[in-house]
Amino acid sequence: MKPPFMIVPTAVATLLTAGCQTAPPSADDAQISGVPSQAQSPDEEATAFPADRTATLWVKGLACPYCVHNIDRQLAETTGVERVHVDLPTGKVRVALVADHPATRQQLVKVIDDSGFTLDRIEMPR
Amino acid sequence: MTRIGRIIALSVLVMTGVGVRAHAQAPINSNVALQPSKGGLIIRQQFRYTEGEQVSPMGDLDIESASTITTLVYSVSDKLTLILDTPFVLSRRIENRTMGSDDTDSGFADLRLLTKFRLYRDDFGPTDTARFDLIGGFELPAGRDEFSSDSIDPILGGVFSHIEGRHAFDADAIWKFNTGGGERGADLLKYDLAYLYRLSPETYASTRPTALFGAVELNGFYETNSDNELFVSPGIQYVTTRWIVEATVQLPVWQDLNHRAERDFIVGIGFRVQF
Repeated sequence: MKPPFMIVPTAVATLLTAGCQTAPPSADDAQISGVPSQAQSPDEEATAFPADRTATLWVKGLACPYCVHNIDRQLAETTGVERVHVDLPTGKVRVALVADHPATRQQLVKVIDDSGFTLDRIEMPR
Repeated sequence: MTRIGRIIALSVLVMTGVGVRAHAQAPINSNVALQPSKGGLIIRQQFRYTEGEQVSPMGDLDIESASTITTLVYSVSDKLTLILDTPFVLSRRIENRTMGSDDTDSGFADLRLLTKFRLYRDDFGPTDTARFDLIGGFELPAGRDEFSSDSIDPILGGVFSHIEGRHAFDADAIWKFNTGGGERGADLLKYDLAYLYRLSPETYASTRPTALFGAVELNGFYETNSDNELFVSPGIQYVTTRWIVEATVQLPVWQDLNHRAERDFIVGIGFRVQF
């Protein structure tokens, strides 16, 4: 066996250096399905997610950014859903429902279940 | 399958981790108890380069191999995932220092068709979870004789994952029942321990989150012919909501091999895309 011992410190140094050089994610990229990726001002937020037809779900078990797409895709494909925003650090998922024939509470609960995550609670628009 | 073929086939197995870890915040060379959502598809492509050697009375052999593994992951439900590994050995070279001969070859190695079934899930925070999955399937002799075991080999195992904050721990054990005869007949236990740390960011962004993980893994192999091999595998992984890029190097820390060549190191890079 000829273990290339120099690779170990090199790999560790590369790993640590890469970590230090990684810039934080840009807030300019909005992870909102159904609308173009762009900065969301408070007014735009209110337009994208009007209070009278936005459901809010609190989801547990979103282990990483990949998980965001799992929920995002499932909800975006659901009939009666207009757009979705998943907030990974808090697990808060906002779902703007279409005005006519909006998705029901049962539909949203099932989507989270199919996604393989735990729904902590859900608030439907009044 | 020749002894050289065995090292190449096993190197492919190391890289695929028996194919069940195509998900995010997942170790690079071992398994994870995470699954894509129902209807979700992940395509993973890996490239590996392996160097090894075999000492024999006929002369020492230096072995190099390059391989690519395509993995398809499809989730049937929130609990059941299907995984298909298609390894292709792009090239290999055997150099006999004594005789000065070279040889090259290429072809498909054994296909692996696996299922992963979730038995336990405890999501205890927005980004925290603990899960346990059963793994079962077959390795199919779809490749050339040189890289194939020529037998349908059942695979059975389990994987546990605990992800909390910036830390992730994964442990798995996979047993491959080799139904082939002779030297090919050794069963294989593959076992892994992995730790991942989220290097950046400290807290996920609310919009379009990304993350950089550092990984350290222990990847062990035991065959019932008493061959033993243990690797330490540092790695790095960049994760977005749709794709992942990753790199690793695997270094042997313990080798007790009598039936195949030793691997000096394995370098792997790869990417995953989910749809």
